[in-house]
Amino acid sequence: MSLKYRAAPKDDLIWHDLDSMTLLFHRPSGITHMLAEPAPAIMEVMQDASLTAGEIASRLSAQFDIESTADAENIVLARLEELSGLGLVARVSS
Amino acid sequence: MAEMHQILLKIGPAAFRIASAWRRPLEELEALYGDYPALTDSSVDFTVRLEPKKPWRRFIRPSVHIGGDFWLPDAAPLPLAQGLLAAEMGMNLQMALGWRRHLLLHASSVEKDGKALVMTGLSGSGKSTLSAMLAERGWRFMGDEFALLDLETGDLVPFPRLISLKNKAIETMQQVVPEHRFGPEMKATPKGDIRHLIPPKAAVARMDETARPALLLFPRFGHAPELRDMGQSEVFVRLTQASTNYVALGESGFEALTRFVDQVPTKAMDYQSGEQAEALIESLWSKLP
Amino acid sequence: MKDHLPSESSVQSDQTNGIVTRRRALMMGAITASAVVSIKPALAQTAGSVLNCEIPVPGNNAMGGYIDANGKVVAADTPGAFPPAGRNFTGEEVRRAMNGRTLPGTTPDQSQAYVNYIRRLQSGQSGFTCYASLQMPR
Repeated sequence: MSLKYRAAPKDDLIWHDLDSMTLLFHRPSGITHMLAEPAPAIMEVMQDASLTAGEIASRLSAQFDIESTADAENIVLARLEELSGLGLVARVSS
Repeated sequence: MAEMHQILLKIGPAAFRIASAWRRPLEELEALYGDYPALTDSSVDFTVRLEPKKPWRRFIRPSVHIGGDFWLPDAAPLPLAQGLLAAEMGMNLQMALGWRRHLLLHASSVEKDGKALVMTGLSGSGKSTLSAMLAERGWRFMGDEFALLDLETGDLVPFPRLISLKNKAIETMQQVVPEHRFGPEMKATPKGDIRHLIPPKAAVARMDETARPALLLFPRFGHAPELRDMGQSEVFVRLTQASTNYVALGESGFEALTRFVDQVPTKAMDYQSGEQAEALIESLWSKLP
Repeated sequence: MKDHLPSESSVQSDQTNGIVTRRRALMMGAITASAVVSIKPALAQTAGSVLNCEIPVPGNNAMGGYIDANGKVVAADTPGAFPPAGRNFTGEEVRRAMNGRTLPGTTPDQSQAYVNYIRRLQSGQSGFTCYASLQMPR
């Protein structure tokens, strides 16, 4: 799939780790989100780039120890769609 | 326009004008808040309005509708005999909807050695009664309804209103506090039987002294005594639910609440009596740095 | 973001005294498992915790209307419909009614009709804020 995604600009976001979840304050909306893995890791590896779900899954595999890589791309895609619905990630026309 | 009476009250950092179509609630307020500092000028943060919904309800089965700068639809009116309760609820409503200078938590708080114990939970958890009890046992009362967190420093700022005692708690406190510190008995209010208690004189005199939050408790009355750890994520979510202005404060609310959760140790505390609670609290307090 | 070392990574030295860094384990979760919860404002929570509220049946926009068994406001001559409640119900009375009791002064069928009316309330109608606050833990 050639659909690409881009994380919200770093300056728009404030991150804060709690024990089992990661908090994310989105400045433009003023909304606080609580993220569970793999969402924070996905946003972390995206950096400032526009990437496909497959590219993000590859970055995750390189940086983390992922149990089963078979579903990884689909899971990443599902999470990206979730994050884009919340304005934390944007779909980019490729 | 019908005549409105008014009084001015200063509690902690907040100043209120209570305007009322009836004198009686204001007389009751003045008697109970007599030792509180007088307002030097008439600039107030909020106005609470106690008015009849229809003009004739001023005299016929007088019914107090709670209004003010901030109000909510569907508010149930109270009989005039509970006008004092209406005034207190009106002040709570102004704070809950309108206060922006601190992060507000639905919590009671008491201070010892410059450190504050904060107790939060649902109705019936006992946080008000615990704060009233500890206030008579060597702690300084800081508030029973709202805990105010400084947005910059994270310090707790006192907001020592009248303590609202319900049902059995009234009898419990009557055993340890002289009668002159109690307000009128109000039976069968929507929240049960209620009596207000004037905080100890020292608490009122020191209402401008802040304290560093040192321990957060989620008390639960009516269960075998026990202390339990709580995860930070759970604490954070519960505190957003216990805050009336977390969302409205935006980034500063986020910073203030995350700082609080990072820095303040938290326990769930089950108890069946004031004595048990006090023992559990002392055991935790003595271990604090 | 995470400005400290991932908690589950470990640094090991191998036999030649080099350092091997193990990658942090990452739980991917299921495709259908949502990974984000947003903190939402809740006016209803404030309402429920600070104020006692009441619900008129029917509300101000439909005064005099009758309530059918499904909770819809209908004309007064509709067969099987119940008359207006004639009093406001408190949040507490409605909560109990939703847990099986009947509203004060009503028959079981009448109570059910009124409860259905309340369940249908929309934002902007009298009693909605009160009803919404009942859904929140207090």
